[in-house]
Amino acid sequence: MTNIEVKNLVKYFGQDENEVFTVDDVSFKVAQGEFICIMGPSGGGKSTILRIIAGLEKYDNGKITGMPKEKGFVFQNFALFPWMSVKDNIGFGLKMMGLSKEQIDQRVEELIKKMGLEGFEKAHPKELSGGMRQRVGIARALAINPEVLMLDEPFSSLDEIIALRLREELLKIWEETHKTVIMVTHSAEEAAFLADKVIILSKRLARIVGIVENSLARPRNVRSKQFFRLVDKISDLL
Amino acid sequence: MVIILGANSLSIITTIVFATMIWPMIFSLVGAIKTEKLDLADAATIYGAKKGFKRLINYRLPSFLPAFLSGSIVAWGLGWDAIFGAEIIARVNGIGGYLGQLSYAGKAALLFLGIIIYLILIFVLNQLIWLPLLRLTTRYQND
Ligand SMILES: Nc1ncnc2c1ncn2[C@@H]1O[C@H](COP(=O)(O)OP(=O)(O)OP(=O)(O)O)[C@@H](O)[C@H]1O
Ligand SMILES: [Mg+2]
Repeated sequence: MTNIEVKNLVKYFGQDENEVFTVDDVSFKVAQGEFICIMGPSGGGKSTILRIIAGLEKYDNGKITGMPKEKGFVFQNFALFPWMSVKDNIGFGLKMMGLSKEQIDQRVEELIKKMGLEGFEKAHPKELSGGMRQRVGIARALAINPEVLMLDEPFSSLDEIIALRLREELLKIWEETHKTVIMVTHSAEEAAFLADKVIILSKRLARIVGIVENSLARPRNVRSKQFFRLVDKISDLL
Repeated sequence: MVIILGANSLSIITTIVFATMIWPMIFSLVGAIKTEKLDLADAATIYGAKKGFKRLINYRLPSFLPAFLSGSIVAWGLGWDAIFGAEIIARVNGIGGYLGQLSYAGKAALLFLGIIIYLILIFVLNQLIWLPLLRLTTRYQND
């Protein structure tokens, strides 16, 4: 039942403190099972913050607590292993954990069904459409049953219709599994539709300019007045 | 070269061929490391192929395989030329050496035939070995 806490996070790229800052004193909390979205201008440090929390990038100051060892990560450009079939991509994390072939096969099969990938088990990523690739990306992340699911603009390189459909599927998965979700997005509608809490970063240096609590009841009606008001509130801060 | 070094012909040929072939391999591997897809490296880290032998086997080797193969193809092509030339220089038997002797002897028709055979040999080896391998790796590469 751990909450994740990011405290006074500082990161600069370059040699010393006078070099380009990217993240400047960012603090926030994520409660267990919460869905949070991180937003901000392009090049503002969103991916950097996510990668730091995921343990993929070092940081220069601050403290991060409560991150579990196992986490799923979904990439904007999918980052599937091109030399592996869909099945092997999904089972990769389990294989690294040292599970038996039977255990892996069983779990992979579940996820193939869950993500609607039946019939594509033996295909290679190159042979799939963008939407299907991201389904594999999400399946690979869920396969290890992580407490925390992190996504970096997972739907940004997809057609709008596909993006909308995957967005709803992600919400369904979250509602079923109660995983903690930290997601970077550039769409205010997406954040308003999905998140419990939206963290908005400033231009240039990543500082927090606002945290918007999103208490709209679910399922959220994207055509309601309150929804539009929330989208406006987020957009104004951006 | 042969006269200056005065070494035995086989070692000279080996050296020349090896020195010619090593460069395309090095260049293609350096290229692969430089254009390494950072997302893929991140994915490998996140999902447990973090370091050491595990990372080597599950991520590094397969991700560099296409570059390694295309480097090999260039190296192989250059190797042919190198062995051909080296044989002539070292005056040893072999297809290059034989063709060299023919050209010294002025036997144009045989020389022509020899070159044709040489080309066919290269063509067949490419069709049987390198092209299928290349086709295989492009399937395993992203875009
Ligand atoms: N390895 C690095 N070395 C130097 N600078 C970097 C490095 N990684 C990122 N940066 C810089 O840090 C800043 C923040 O990058 P980051 O990718 O986190 O932004 P972002 O908010 O995710 O942007 P986008 O919306 O384009 O995805 C950028 O100015 C980028 O150029
Ligand atoms: Mg980014």
